Parts: sequence; C-alpha cells; structure tokens
Amino acid sequence: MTKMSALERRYRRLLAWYPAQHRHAHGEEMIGVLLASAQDGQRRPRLPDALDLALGGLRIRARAALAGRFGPGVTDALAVYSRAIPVMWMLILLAWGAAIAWGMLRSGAPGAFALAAPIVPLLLCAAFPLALAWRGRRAAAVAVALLPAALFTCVAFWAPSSGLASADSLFAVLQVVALAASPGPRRGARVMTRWTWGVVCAAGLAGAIPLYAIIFGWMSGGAGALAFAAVALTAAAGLLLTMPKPVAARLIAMLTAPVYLSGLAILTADQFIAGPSGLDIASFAIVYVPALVLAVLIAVLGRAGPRRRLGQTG
Amino acid sequence: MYRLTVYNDDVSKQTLQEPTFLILTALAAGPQHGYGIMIDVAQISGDRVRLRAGTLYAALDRLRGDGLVDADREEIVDGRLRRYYRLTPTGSRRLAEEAERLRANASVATSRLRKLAAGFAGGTA
Repeated sequence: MTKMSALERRYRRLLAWYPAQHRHAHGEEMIGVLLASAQDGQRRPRLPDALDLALGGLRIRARAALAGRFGPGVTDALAVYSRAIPVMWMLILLAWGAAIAWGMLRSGAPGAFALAAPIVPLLLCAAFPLALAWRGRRAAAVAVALLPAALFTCVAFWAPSSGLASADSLFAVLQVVALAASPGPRRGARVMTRWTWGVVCAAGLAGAIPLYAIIFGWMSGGAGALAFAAVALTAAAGLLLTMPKPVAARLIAMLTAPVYLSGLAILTADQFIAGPSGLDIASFAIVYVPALVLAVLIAVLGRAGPRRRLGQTG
Repeated sequence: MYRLTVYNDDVSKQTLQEPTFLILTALAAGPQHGYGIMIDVAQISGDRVRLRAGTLYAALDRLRGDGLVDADREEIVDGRLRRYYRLTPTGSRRLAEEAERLRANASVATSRLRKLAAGFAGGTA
C-alpha cells in the first residue's frame, strides 16, 4: 500500500503538467487509469509514461491557449500563411531571377549567375512542402519544410547582423508551424478571397522592389525602408479588407516580426558590408529570438492528438 | 461551434489516425472509462497499439473539443473516480465514414489481389 502511495504521489506530481482546470476535471480519473495500468510493485512512473504525461499536458495547455485565448482565427491564419507565403516567396524569387537576368542583359556581367544560383533550390524549398501539404501529406510537408527553416536559422545565428537571414528564418519556421498546426493550405485557399490573392501577390512583388533597388544601387537604405514600410502597411490594410477580420488580424500579428526584420535588413542593406550595427544586434535579441521561441513552441504544441510514436509501444 | 465548422470540412476529408480510429471504435461498443478504452484499443489492434494515459487524455480532450466524444457518467470504484465516455452522433458518423473508406480501400485491394493470384495460377498451369 505504501509502495502504491509513493507511485501515486509521483504520478500526481507529473499531473502538474496539466492545466489546473483539466487536473480538477480529470486528475482523479487519470490517477486511477495510471495506477490501474501500473505493474505490481512498481514504485516510480516509467520514463515513457512520464514523457507521455508531460507531452499530453503540454498539448492540452497549447490547445486551450490556441482555442481559448486566440480563438479559431489562429488556425485559419496559419492555414492562410501555409498557402500564401510560399506563393509570395516564389514570386519574390522569380522577380529576383528576372531582375538578375535583366541586369545581366544590360551589363553583360557573367558573375551575376552566382547570384541567381540559389533561386532554384529556394523555389523548390517553397514549392515542395506546399505541394505535399496540398495532397494531404502533412507529415512529409513538415519534414521537408524543416530543411529551409533549419538552414536559415543556422545562418541567422551564425550572422545575426543579417536581418534578412533572421527574417527568412522566421518566415521559414512559421511555415513549419503553419503546416504542422493548421488545417493546411487547402483550408487557407478557402479562407482567402480573390482579392486577398491580389494583395498577397502585389505585396510580395512590391515589397521585394526596395531590396533589389538597394542591391542594384538605385535607392538608399532609408528610402528603401520607407517604401517597404508603406508596402507593408498597405498590405496589412488590404488583408483586413479582403479576409475575415479575426483571421487577417492574427495573420498580420504573425507576420510582424519577420516583416520588421525584413524592413531592418532593407534599412541596413547598403551598410551590410560594414558589419553588424547596434540596431541589428538589438533586433536579433529583442525581436528574433523571442519570435523564434514562440514559433517553435506553437509548432511543438499546436497540433495535438495521439501520435503513434508516443502512443504505442511494441 | 465555429471551431467545428472550421474543422469539419477539412477533418472529415482527412483520414483518422489509427489511435483515434481505435478510440472511437472502442466507444462504438458503448460507453467506456479511460482504462477500459486502453484495454479495448489494445485488444482491437491485436496488442499493436497500446495507448498511454497522457496520449489517451490528450486525444479525449481533442475529440471532445471536436464534438466526436462526450462524457457519459461517473462512478466511484474502490474509492477512485471513473468517468465514462461515449460517442456522439457526430462521432459515430465520422467513424462510419472512416470505416467505409477503409472498407472500400480494402475491397479494391482484395479484388485486385484475387485477380493477381488468378493470373499467377494461370501462368503456372
């Protein structure tokens, strides 16, 4: 009896992973289930059971947070993100390719090929997960989307002065979150109207222009950042006007950190060679790191449900 | 309700994960308590799927949120609370759809395998 009590005490301690409300409603029955499935003479929770309890508790907390605090608009906003952002990315990359081709035609510089080389793998990184998710292969889509996310995040940590890498990293990590924690791009396509598509495509193309203009030396960083801010604000207004407002508001909130870092990258693009500025480092610490942590937490906890890996043995 | 309308069209097209399918199947026999569901799921799956308590309660929380499962009644056994869960009409409809989908797939596979076997038999004769 004492042995069972020790086990029960330890199980009760593990229930701290669950929200108080869930513990209050289901704590006693869970203890009953845990003790009934324990082996004779068992004194401590087994590690897989302890991990399973912790993960189950975190999932329930995350679901409560997502459904209660933010409302179902969050999952729809993520669904729109999973559909719209890869398309926007591809447009930006194609515009980049076109700009380079045009620059090459004008200057005849063969070195520009090196600038165009990453376009193809980056296009694939955007298109492949989207195509997999569209066909309902969610796990595969998430796995493939992890590749660019990991790559950009490594670059962002390696060179925190590059706001662009930090922005790319957040965009890519959010795409993983969007694929993992939302009903997916098909749902996103249903939420988006034709006008939303117009806003997304126009914002992608217009937002990329200042960056290219600075790189090609046609614009100063300050002017580019102002132009980018104007595009971002217009796009935000466009999203609010063309989609259900709760979804648009949440999508805008998700995009704030990566868009801010993109703007910062544009602002400092012409001094990029000179090395990191105080502003870059501060933004990395204040904007990038918390945004990344939040995104990863939502990714890990957002989509709750039984997982074979955790839910079964043997 | 908004949550349901959000998810219904997408979730109903998605295939149920096996543990979810098995939990709903366990409850199709009638209301069961948590430990009963765990035992039943192991039995139905020939001991292949063994749910742990954390996974089971996270799944029940989600299934209740989606309106597929609901609490039925409570009883005290040996001083411990047991809560029984039951399928809702939405839950039985969802399970029926999934069972039909699996049955259709299985019947195509079986009929093709039969033809294949007949082909082999014809080839060797």
